[in-house]
Amino acid sequence: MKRLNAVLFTALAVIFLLPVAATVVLSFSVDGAASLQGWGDLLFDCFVFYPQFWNSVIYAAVITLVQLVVIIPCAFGFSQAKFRGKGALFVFYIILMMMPLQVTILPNYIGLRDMGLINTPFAIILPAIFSPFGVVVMNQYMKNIDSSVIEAARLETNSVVRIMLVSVVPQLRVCIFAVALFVFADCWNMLEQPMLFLKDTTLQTVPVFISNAAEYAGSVMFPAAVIFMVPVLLIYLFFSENLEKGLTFGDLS
Amino acid sequence: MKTKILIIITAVFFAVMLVLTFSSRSIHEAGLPHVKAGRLSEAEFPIEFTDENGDVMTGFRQSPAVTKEQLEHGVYILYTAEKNGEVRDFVQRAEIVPGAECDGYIEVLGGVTSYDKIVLESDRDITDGEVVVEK
Repeated sequence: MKRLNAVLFTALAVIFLLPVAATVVLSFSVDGAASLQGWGDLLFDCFVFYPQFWNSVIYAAVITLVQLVVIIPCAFGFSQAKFRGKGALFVFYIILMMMPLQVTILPNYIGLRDMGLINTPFAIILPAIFSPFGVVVMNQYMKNIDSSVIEAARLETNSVVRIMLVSVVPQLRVCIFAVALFVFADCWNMLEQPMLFLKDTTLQTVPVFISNAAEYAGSVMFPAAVIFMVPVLLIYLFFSENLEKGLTFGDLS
Repeated sequence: MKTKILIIITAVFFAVMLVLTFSSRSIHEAGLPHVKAGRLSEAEFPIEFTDENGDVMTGFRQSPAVTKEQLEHGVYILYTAEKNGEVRDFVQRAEIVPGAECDGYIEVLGGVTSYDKIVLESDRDITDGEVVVEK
């Protein structure tokens, strides 16, 4: 049985890794022959790629950091505060989380247009900061926080921010890393928002570059896809242990 | 140990990307021909005509012209086109229709107009369709 499982999981892993391996292999070939031309074309003849790469890095990093600043107090409020309509508000958050992007993107566009933020980095950063996903996930964790620690902290200080930073955040380290990784990956892969909200190519991101393949030499696509994979892969490798622990929802023991 | 290696890989990756961001254009342009371009020059070519008394007169006419040397090496028109999301300078070989010859100049009857920008000088040999950098 164990051997069967091993074979099955190895086969599944190979199937999942095949597109990644194919992308890497194809980045070193042009017209079926082994060649570094694609890499040369991308790195030394496709200058629009660099601003788009750094835009992806900056948008994803800023959104992840600011979103953590927003979702931790928000989830703390949901889990610890008692107020009327809390349940209904949380259901509303879950509904928002379940909404397909295509449903919310048009209202977002209208709002951003009216604020004059279209074709600025804020058009990408601002709506993404208030994503409900992190709040919902972190709220599940916070329900299991040892309340005696919070009570003890309350005896020391009246500051909610201090209680949160001293007694809650250290207990949520694993969850914060897991949520940060998901948020970063989600922002890194963002395609529709930059396509719709940003017209200037120097403000757009790598997914837009890859999706506009027809505008560039065909040879640059696979090397661009390989570079696109690297940051998110590195971040995953950094925090893989935290992610595995973090995926076991609510288990803080 | 694993974290250390990952930090090194991450630092190297982003450092390479940063260096390439600022230097890839210079590296690219260093490998391209640098050309000086301008409009076709004009030269005087002798003409013969008959006046109202029936006498044959000699005069000159101003016409677009290229040097013999230019014609031998090929006349290239400089044009701009988009490549990899950016407007670049390209050269296209013009099929010159030669006319009269005078003082090393050859009259241009066709193949290039006086509105076209042509390559006057290049620091290396250029080929049809090549990307160049205009000085």
